Amino acid sequence: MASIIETKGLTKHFGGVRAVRGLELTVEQGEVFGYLGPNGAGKSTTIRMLLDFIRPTSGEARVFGLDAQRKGLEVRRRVGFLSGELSLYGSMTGAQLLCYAAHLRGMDRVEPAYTASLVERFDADTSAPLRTLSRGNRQKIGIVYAFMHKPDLLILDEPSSGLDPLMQQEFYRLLRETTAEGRTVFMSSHILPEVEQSADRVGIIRRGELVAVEDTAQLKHRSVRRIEVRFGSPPSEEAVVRISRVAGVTEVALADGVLRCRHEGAMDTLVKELATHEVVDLITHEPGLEEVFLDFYEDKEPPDGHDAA
Amino acid sequence: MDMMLRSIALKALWDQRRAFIWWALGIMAIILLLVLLYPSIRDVPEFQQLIDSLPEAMRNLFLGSSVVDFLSPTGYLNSRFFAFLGPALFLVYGIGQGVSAVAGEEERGTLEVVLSAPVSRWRLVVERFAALGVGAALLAGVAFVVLWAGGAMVSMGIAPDRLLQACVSLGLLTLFFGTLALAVGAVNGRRGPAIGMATGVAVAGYLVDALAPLASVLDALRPASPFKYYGEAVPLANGLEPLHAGVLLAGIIVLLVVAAVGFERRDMRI
Repeated sequence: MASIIETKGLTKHFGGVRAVRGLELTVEQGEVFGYLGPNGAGKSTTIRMLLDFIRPTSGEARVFGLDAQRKGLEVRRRVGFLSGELSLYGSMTGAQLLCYAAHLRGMDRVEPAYTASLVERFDADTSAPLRTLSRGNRQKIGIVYAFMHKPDLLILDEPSSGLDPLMQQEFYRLLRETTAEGRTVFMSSHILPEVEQSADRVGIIRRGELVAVEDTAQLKHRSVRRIEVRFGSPPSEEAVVRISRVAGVTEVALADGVLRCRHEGAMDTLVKELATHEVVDLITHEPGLEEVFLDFYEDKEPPDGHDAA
Repeated sequence: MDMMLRSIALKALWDQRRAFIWWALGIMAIILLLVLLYPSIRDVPEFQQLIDSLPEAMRNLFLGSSVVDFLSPTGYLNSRFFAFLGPALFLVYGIGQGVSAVAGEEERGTLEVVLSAPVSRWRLVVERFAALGVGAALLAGVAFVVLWAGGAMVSMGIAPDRLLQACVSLGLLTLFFGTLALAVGAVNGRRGPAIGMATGVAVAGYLVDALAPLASVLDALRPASPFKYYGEAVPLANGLEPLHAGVLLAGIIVLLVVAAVGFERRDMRI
């Protein structure tokens, strides 16, 4: 099976601003790919090129193996899109918008029963004019709009923004169901927990460049965490030295019988070293992707200062 | 209602409904007023003298350059409605609809909703144009019906086929400027330039056409004015001039192609 999304040297300039540069991105079938970066990093620009809203300055984007520009119509037939700046027709109701969408996509491709089940799941208000709905309630209509025709690829720009936590969980369940059916999700976000919860792999984009692509699990695994250990009896100085020599351990400090340190990487060696003492309590502060993410930014300061939308 | 959601063109037509109803009511009221006033004006010969005493430039600007006998039914309707007021009202409507067809939706961000579906850009342009055309035709139809019925009430005795042809000419002019606004919006993506360009061409075209008999410079420019092909031949008196209607129609088609190609080629705005 070919990759669902593949970009080669994808580049977009707006005037003198390089919004996306030399993007090499591959998204495989059946995964949730989290496309992570701060606002203005080039996430939406990438998405808009995939949908043929804008055309690359150079390079190419392929979706389902088809050129996203020349075969845009075929690509969009199999794609569901949720815009980050969701603007829906304010005077229409949700039901009217979904009806219009069904006609645009071809009535034979949309099962009304499935659409209705999505509306029910997200408790979406389909009878009020869209302009009267809150951000979160509009987002629900947007989600139904993107998923209603069971597309092979979902391109979601900041999908869970505005949803309450309960609906976010429902949304993540929907993502899992989608990938279980062999369909694919490409999801941009600057909200890290969003990606952490649902993505199989994460691509990090910064100032238009793809900085890293990692399995979500590995990214967390590789990352830094803060550890607190309370011993039964205060450890000897030697013991502290041995602990601080464990690979990955830094910033060791002992106070009131509690040892605090910073640790990077797999914990096995450290745990075994600690286990030679009487451990009363062990607390690790799970890193959010936030910390991981910030590491990328701090480590790799850009040579020039161009930023783009 | 659901019927109107079956295609982009039908939905665009549905979106016009409020503006259309108000515009139609306004045009009906103005036409009825004009027509019902006719008997009282006809019987006051001083009006003709008053008009004859106006400076030619002013008469041309507000009553049309091809003004005939002002107090005849044809002359009256032509100068009071078809020369200035009618086109002004119709063009505001047509340009407004043409602007919102692409640029208006693009600025609001709702165009992404449509174009993320398997809809090609040229199809969007063509369907929106179709809705524009239907809107212009319906509005011209309203004008025809009210002019005809009102005229019958006060026994103006204008041949209905001439009246119809004058309204067709007005509809074509409306569609021309609506399509111009649509095309500028489709090429550029912004409402401002679309409104400015269409309005500017309309005002300039009108001035050139109205004042052409007064200055040879303007007369030389007259073939470039869309208004020449709308009113020079006075369809209300002489019937639609096929060549002139053909020029307007050709212009509309050229603008439609420009709109489709221009929209197809450019980046959508955020």
